[in-house]
Amino acid sequence: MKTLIIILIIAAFLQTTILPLDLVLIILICRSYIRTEKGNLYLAFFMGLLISHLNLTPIGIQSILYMISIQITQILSKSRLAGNSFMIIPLSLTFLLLNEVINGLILHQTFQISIKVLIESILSLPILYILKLWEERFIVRKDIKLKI
Amino acid sequence: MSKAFPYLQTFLILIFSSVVIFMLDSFNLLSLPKSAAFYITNPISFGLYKTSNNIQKQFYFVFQARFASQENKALKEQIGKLLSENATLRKRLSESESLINQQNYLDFRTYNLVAARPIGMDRYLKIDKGKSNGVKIGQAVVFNDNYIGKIIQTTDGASFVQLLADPDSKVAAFSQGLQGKAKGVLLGQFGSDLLMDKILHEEKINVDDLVYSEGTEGYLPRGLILGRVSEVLNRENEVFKQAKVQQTFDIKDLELVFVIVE
Repeated sequence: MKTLIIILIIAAFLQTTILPLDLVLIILICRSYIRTEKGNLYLAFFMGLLISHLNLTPIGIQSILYMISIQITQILSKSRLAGNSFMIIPLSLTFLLLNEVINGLILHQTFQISIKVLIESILSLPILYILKLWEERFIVRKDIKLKI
Repeated sequence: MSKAFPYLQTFLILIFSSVVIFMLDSFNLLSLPKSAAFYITNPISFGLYKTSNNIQKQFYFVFQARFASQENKALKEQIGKLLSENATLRKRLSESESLINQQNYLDFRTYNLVAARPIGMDRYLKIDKGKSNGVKIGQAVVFNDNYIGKIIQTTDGASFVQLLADPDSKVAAFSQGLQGKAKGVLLGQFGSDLLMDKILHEEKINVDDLVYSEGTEGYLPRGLILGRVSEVLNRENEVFKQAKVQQTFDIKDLELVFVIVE
């Protein structure tokens, strides 16, 4: 979890300074798609606050958007379709678009569907695989007990 | 319910917290913690931004270097083309000047002149005009009022000119100086020197006298400059005097020569 928090903080700084991609939301969606945890909601809440602060937007809105996205992803991750990793692409595309539209409405900015959202949604697939690999290979769960 | 909506309670609490924070922020009640947070986040953002700019500059430099190399190559090619074009234009200008100058010496109305470019030089001078331009064997080749040689071989598109300095060349000539005039025969020698022979002892000839064509050959007008006397060879025991003559110009410097076709 610590590593994930550090990665998310770095991603938050990156996306608000040099890389105009919503990396935090992608990582959070992928993480909640792989594993349903209460921690995902906390991460979404705090990362939303951080992103709002770094983007100089009203604090709280981003958290709500992130948490709704994460909660819906966690619900959908229990469905049969979630077995297919490629489902992450339309899922992240939907949430990223939703995020863009709502942010545009709140901040009174003109919204246009750009190639950025497509890139972000395609990027979610390799991020999902990396996270999956990380979670399965390097994170030791409490419920795993060795039988001697 | 909890199975369908996992962690619903936490979700609702966090949503409520977000709304509260949003409300507080809307009434500017979070300005103090926000300014405190900026003390931490601003240097990090600035550092990242600066680093990214530096990296971008480095990549930009590499890209620009590659682009500059390509541009340099293209410009060099362009310069080469322009130099070539410039040389062609200069050559044409020089040729035009030669044509205009020639009109001052031999009138085009009196003599039918054909301008020709020298295209090779061995024993004979090769010119780019031949039978198709009316050039025939025996015709004189001049430049301004200087005699260059005569056509000895011609094809459809090129001709060979036997130069005045050729050992087979023989032209009736006379020298004209302040003290008087001397007649003789100008013979070609190996090298650039010419020899004026058959000069009578009583005729006056001196160094720096100009030597002109006599015009008795038929193909050659009288009064064309053949050269300048560089040395007089006066031997008492010989029947005739001799004089060494040097040509007044270098044939290799000529852009155009003119064949007197009529």
